Order: sequence, then structure tokens, then C-alpha cells
Amino acid sequence: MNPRQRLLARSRRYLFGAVGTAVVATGAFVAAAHASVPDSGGTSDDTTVQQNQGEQQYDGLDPSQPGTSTDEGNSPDQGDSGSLSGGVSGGQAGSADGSSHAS
Amino acid sequence: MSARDSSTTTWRDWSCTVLVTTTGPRQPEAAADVVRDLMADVERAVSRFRPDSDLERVNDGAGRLVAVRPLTFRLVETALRAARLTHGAVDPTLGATLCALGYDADIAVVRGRPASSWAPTHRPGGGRWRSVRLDRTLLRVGIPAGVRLDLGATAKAWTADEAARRVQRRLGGAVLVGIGGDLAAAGRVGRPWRIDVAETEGADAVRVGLSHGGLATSSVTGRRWTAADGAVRHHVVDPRTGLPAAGRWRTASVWAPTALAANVASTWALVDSEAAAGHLTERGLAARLVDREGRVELHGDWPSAEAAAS
Repeated sequence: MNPRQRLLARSRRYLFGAVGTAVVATGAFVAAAHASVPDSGGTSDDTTVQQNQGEQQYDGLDPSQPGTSTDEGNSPDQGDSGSLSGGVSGGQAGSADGSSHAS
Repeated sequence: MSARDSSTTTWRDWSCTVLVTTTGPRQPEAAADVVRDLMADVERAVSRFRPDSDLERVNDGAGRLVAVRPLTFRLVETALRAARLTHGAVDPTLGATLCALGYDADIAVVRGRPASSWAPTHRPGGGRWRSVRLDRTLLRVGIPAGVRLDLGATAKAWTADEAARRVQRRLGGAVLVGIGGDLAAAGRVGRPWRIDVAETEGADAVRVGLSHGGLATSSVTGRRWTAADGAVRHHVVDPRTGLPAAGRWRTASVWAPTALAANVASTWALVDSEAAAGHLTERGLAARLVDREGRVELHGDWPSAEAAAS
């Protein structure tokens, strides 16, 4: 295969690769666009159209994953070390800084 | 830290008191602006009482996948995680049930109505959170016909956490944000924040110190209204019955690493006291629980009555 033939073969591979990728992407888009909501049943896991694989975000609910509930990474500072417990202590006299109550 | 070297700004929004306290000369108005901006964004995203919110578009578009803002998507995801964690006790699909119970507008409007102006109807409870569909690729949310979302149990606490973090990042120092009694602390604080814990705003309180994390109180004694049949309703619904929760505890105050985790645990305690007690123990959360007769039970590291100055 001379240099010109090699170049043509490489161009075809790129062309077919690009077309194949476009077909797959279009198919996924159409499938997602036609997804409908079930009346009931299933779980939120298995009815999620696509999961973002590998993404680990702290949701603010699990104390084994300290951080924040944001897209922007870990908390700059949520308190002293050992912050998964000991957040409350006996009160001190003086004016209150805040109050916790039902709204 | 003393009251002298901190600045506090308070105002009313979302039918509750909002508070932001920062240590030192930290531009209290700038801190308040950060909180206000976030609350406005959250309201546009998931308010049940704004017809133009994303949440209401999802509710009105039940049966279809509806495109939403990234913030809305995140808050719905968060609510579904709470439902999964609590085995459905904290259920975001109770919107239609709340409306049927009469809570279909801002609580001030609901309370201001004559009791006979609406007829209560019983709707089945939740459990349909498993049917909520999320499309991460196109940021769409879908719910089945007949379901309406209500993120009241998680969105407010999430906002307190996020607001505290944003203010701390913008201004530094230590920050305390309170939205309707959901408190979130961020930044290092030399001495714990002094927090009064009460069943409802202005009621008798016990004083605790909060050094980090979040503190939330849920109660069936707040957000109440009188139904047409004369029955007093409240907003904490048991998904198993579709009726206001009638469990062992009337009020639960919980400390957790975030206000969101604290609020989920405190709401769960009102709906299912036994399951929630296991969760508190397993996660090492501190709690103060008040039963229907006013008796108090403490969990975890919650300070004893002797340690907590009243």
C-alpha cells in the first residue's frame, strides 16, 4: 500500500468512525427523548434514565461522607476535626445566636 | 465568641424567620444578600406555591419528563435520597396529599381561611417516590399522573447548609444560618454558637451549644390549621396513611453533620419513631425527642438538662 492508499484508508476509518459515533449518539438521544414516566412501580434507581457513572457527590445525608451538598466540592471547613459527632454541647449563658424550632 | 464580635441579620421569608450571623466585621448585609439570592433561586426552582416554579411545571406535567434547572434537579435528587434513606418515611411525593388535607397555599393563607371554605378529602399516602424518573443527560424530571412533588422536608434545610457554606466562602470566619429553625454552621468557631431549642418559635427553650454541623427541629405542633370538619391538621404526613403523623413523638430536635441530615432525621422521628431511633443510634446523631405528653428523651451526645442552660 503506497502512501496515497494509506491516506485514503485512514480517511475512510475516520469517516466511518465519525458516522458511527453520530448514529449511536442520535439513537441514545431519541431513546431518552421518548422515555415516558411509568404509572407506578420500579425504583428510582432502575427508572433513572442515565446514571452519571463514577460520580461521587456528598448529598448531605450520609455522615460517613463529610462535606457539603453542593456541586463545588468539599466543604472548606465544617468545623473541628472529628466533626461527625459532638456538634452539640451544654449551653452557655448570654444572648442566643440562633434558635432551632419547628416553623 | 461573644455577641459583641458577631453580626446578625434577620428577616422574614418563606413564612418563617431567616437569620444569618457572622463573626467579626464580616459585612452582615453582604452575608444576608448571599442568603437572599440563594433562597430566591430555590423558590424559583421548587416552590409549591409559585405556578412558574420548575416544581409546579413538573407537577402540572405529570406523565411527562419535564426539563428543569440544575438546581431543581439537584433538589429533587436530594429529596429522593432522603426517601431512600428513610425507606419512604420522608417522601417527596406527598404534594397531592397535602393539598387534599388543605395545605395547598402558603401557610399564612391556609390559616387565614374560614374552616368551611374547603372540603378535606382523604388521598392515599406516598410510596410513589420510587416512580419518579430522572434524566441526568437532559436534566428532566418526570412523575406519574396523580402525583405531585413537595420538597418541603428537604429543600429548606439544604438551603441553610448551602447558604452557610456560600457565606463562609465569600466572607470567611464562622457563619450560622437559620431558616425557619433549620440551622447550619460553617467555618471554625472559637466557642460554640448559643442555640435555643424550642418546639415552636417563641416557646420555652433549652440552651445548647452548636460547634459545627446542623440542627433541625420538626414538630406536629407547628404549621397547623383547622379543617372544615373541625379537626386540627399539621403538615407532617405519614406516607403509610396519607394523614398527619400521629406517632409517639410530637417534636424532634436533631443534630447531624448537616442541617439536611438533621431535618431528615427529625422528620423521620415524627413519622416512624422506632425506625428513626435505630437511625439515630447507627449514625451517632444527637437528638432531643418530646412525646405527646411533653416527656423528653435524649439520644446520643445531646446534653443533659443539667448541662443545657435553660
